[in-house]
Amino acid sequence: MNNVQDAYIYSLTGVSKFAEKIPIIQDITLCIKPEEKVAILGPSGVGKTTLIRLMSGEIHPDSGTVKLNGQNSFHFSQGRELARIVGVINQQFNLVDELSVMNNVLAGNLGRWNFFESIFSLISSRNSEIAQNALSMVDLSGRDRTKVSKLSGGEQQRVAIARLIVQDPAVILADEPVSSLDPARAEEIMKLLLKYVKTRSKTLVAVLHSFEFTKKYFDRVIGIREGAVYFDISTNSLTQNVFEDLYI
Amino acid sequence: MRLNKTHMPDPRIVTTFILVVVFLGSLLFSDWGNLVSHGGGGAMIRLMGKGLISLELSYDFILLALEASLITLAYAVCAISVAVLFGFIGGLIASGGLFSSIVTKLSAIVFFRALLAVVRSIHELIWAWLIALALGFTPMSGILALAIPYSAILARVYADFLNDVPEPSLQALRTAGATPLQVMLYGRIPAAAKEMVSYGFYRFECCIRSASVLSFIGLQGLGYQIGVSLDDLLFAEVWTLLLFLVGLIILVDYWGSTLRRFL
Repeated sequence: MNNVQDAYIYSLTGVSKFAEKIPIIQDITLCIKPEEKVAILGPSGVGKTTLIRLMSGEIHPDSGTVKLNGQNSFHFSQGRELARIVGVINQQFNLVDELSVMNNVLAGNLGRWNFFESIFSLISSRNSEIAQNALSMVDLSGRDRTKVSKLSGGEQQRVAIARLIVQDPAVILADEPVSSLDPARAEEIMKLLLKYVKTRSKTLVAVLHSFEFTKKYFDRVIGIREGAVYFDISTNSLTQNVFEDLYI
Repeated sequence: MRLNKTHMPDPRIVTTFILVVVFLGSLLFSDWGNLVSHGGGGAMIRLMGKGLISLELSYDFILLALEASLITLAYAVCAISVAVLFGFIGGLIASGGLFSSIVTKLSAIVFFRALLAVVRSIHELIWAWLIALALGFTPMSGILALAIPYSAILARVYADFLNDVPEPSLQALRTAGATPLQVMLYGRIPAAAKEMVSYGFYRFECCIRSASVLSFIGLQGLGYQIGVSLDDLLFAEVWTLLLFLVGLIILVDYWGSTLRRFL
């Protein structure tokens, strides 16, 4: 059984999480294979973000286990080792507005640098070749000295992706990565993210609300309702009716 | 027999009535004949007013006021430089953001904030007396008297600024593998820098005012010159010197706002 579980990059068994005795996540069991592209759908407030936070190691389950590469998530406790495996991208981008684009992108390297390298990088934008390549991948070449606060929402999300490219984790957890963008920018960011995931053979788990994006970009879809798995199917089996039934 | 609650007097009215009666009663015991000990106040105010419209603007006095302003500014710069350095280090520790263990973090916050509270609760004038008694009436004593409480005030406020940085961007750095020290460097300090500089300059202005009243322990400068002119009731000189003090504050305010634009 262990050998089977070890083949998965994620293995969640009977995972529950409570907030003041109210269940947010209830007895979720699921496995995710390397390089799989999984969309998580569900109405607001059903525990999708909590699930992503559990998978990222930011919080731990109250019962059940979250295994990452066969190891319990407690083992990692938000360290450098975890940063090599998991990278997170959010709806609100979560960049440091006061820093330049380059410094935000280079922050993807913090898990590899010691304190002095970090200071040196902050002052001199060291290792900028890697960051320049990442910026060119997200079409932000030449904007490296711009303050992040001066960029549009779509550009900020591209900076966040460039930071992930520099961080280079095996799994990308994306929590509503395009929810705050207009349809054209959302499509652009999804294309960019998927291009990166495919070319670098990454695993992608993304919380979404879009039927079209799910069908277009993902292999598998997990529906969450009232903190539990409502369906876990191949994207081919996802119909408009199944999608709408989840949101009723 | 039950009292109807609606007939009970409002406690607020009763309290107000008692306080008014006590106040009026106290007026009967006041010494009305000795309220103002200085009988020539009106003449003095006229003299002060006259000084304001006939400022001392002679070349020699302007040079003296300029030199005094520079001395006051120099003391204030020395004191605030020391205070910003120690306030910054103190702020990093008191914020608790450098520690990953919750026990260490709470210990640092509780212990260090208590220490800062003790130091800043003592006014700079009291510090000046204490330090002057220990080190003598020297300019260094004045600088230390300003730097010690100002370091504690800055550390406390800087710690609050560092703690108020929105958590999501810090969490994003942690998920990228940043240690607490790196989160401080890439997240908390850049986000709080503008407010820290702004508050540092406000404290610089306070430091100039404080430096000008610490002449009694040996600080030369505007305060000392104002004291000399006041001794001779030369209000024209006093007003000129006060205008130089206002000029210094405006200069620092302008300096601070120019710097903030670049952050």
